[in-house]
Amino acid sequence: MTSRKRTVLVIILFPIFVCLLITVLEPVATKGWLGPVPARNLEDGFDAGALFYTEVNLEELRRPEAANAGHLSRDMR
Amino acid sequence: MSWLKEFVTREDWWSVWIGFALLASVFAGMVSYVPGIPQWSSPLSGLPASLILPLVLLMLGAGALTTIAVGTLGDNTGAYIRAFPAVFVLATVSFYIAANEVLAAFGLGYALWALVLGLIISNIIGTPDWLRPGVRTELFIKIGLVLLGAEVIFGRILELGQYGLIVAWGVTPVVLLSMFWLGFRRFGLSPSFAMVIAAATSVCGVSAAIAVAGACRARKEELTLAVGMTLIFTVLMMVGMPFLAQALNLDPIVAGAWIGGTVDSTGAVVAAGQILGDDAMQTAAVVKMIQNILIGIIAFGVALYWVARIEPGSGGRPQLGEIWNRFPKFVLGFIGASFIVSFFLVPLLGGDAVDRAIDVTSDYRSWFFCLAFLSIGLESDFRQLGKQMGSGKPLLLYLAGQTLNVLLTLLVVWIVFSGLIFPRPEF
Repeated sequence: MTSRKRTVLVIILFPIFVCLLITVLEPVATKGWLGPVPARNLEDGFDAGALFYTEVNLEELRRPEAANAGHLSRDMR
Repeated sequence: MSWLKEFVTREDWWSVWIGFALLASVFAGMVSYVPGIPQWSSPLSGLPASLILPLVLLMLGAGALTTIAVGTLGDNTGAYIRAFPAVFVLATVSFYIAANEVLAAFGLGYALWALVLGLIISNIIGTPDWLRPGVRTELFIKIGLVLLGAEVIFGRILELGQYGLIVAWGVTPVVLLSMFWLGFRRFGLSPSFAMVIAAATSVCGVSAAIAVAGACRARKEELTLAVGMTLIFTVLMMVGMPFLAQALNLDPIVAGAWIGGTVDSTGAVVAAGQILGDDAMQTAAVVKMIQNILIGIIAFGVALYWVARIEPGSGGRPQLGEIWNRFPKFVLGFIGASFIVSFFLVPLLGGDAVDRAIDVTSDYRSWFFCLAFLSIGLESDFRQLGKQMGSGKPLLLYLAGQTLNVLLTLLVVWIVFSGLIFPRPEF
């Protein structure tokens, strides 16, 4: 297979793979099949992929309403 | 004046200068916004038209700064200028995928997607020759790490977490050293590979892995595997640890400290702790943040140990000058940034102003980490990865280390937080 063909295949198949993954994971989260953590994250729009506490904002973290909302700050990147 | 020349001819120093220039631009108020991809549920909402111009400006700015370094280091700037935009676009794609709300809920972040995208391109299509000059893994990682240093603020976290200090700083070195010994001496892994896996498991996952990989000059494939294992197990532990804590009927504070001391990435720590309640989440977060401080200290120690003991050069035990010469200087940038922010800028500007600035510098840091992970993927070879992983020993090391981490942390958090021996902490 030529490099050009492989490039085209990757451009087509990679987005399909990502879409499929999202489609499969969404009910896994919403129906709680893997427990409450992904479900709650999805409900709150929480980014669980943060590598590091960036906004070291303990005051915000310590506010009950912030904690309950699941947000430390904007997106915790 | 050869020592002066070193400041402009070494990539390590350039990462320090660029990192400090970016920090200065933010703390001086010249930059107050770094674009990021917003979380999305429908594909078009992830990349609004209003974001295009800020992203182009960011690309030009980051490209200009790194081009100065590339040019001064004697590499082909024309080739770098042609390649960097493509690398930046691929990094943007990684951020875009990671910003999907479902993937974000599972903690499948940009680091994973940048690695995957890079690996697919390099191993299925083949990294094109014109793109290779833009792949500057070391430079991107080191700039990101200097920026990360600014986020490690000593005072406030230490004030809040005397108990967390015992958990995070007591258990972490034991697990780190045990894993290094097991991986290097018993499993026969290369010392750098054993150390990177040990740091990823015992400290705070990906951030620690890349800091230590830089300090011990680990190979790209070693870092890729360590980061890959960490990312997968972080998702599993984020989901599983709250179950386990409930099954063991742990007190929320004990459970939170256990999660904070064992789950690798910080976002996953908060997500897992949150399920057990407010106290558990706050305890988990504090323990994790105290553990995060260790990155700089451990990177410094590893760098020193490496130049003095593991790779001492041909002349046996190296002299002080030789140690200094080969010491990875970006580690000094990391620690310097942390000290300047902790002990000068927090008292000078106040905590809130520093928080706002760190909110911006952390976005810079994310971009450079994303560029670094993409570059790692673009330089990694599946055959080499297979060879490294072939024996299964790296996975075994991770599992053995994580098991020790989980059990030892549980014992220590029970002693410290249960209230049976020490007074219970107030949150």
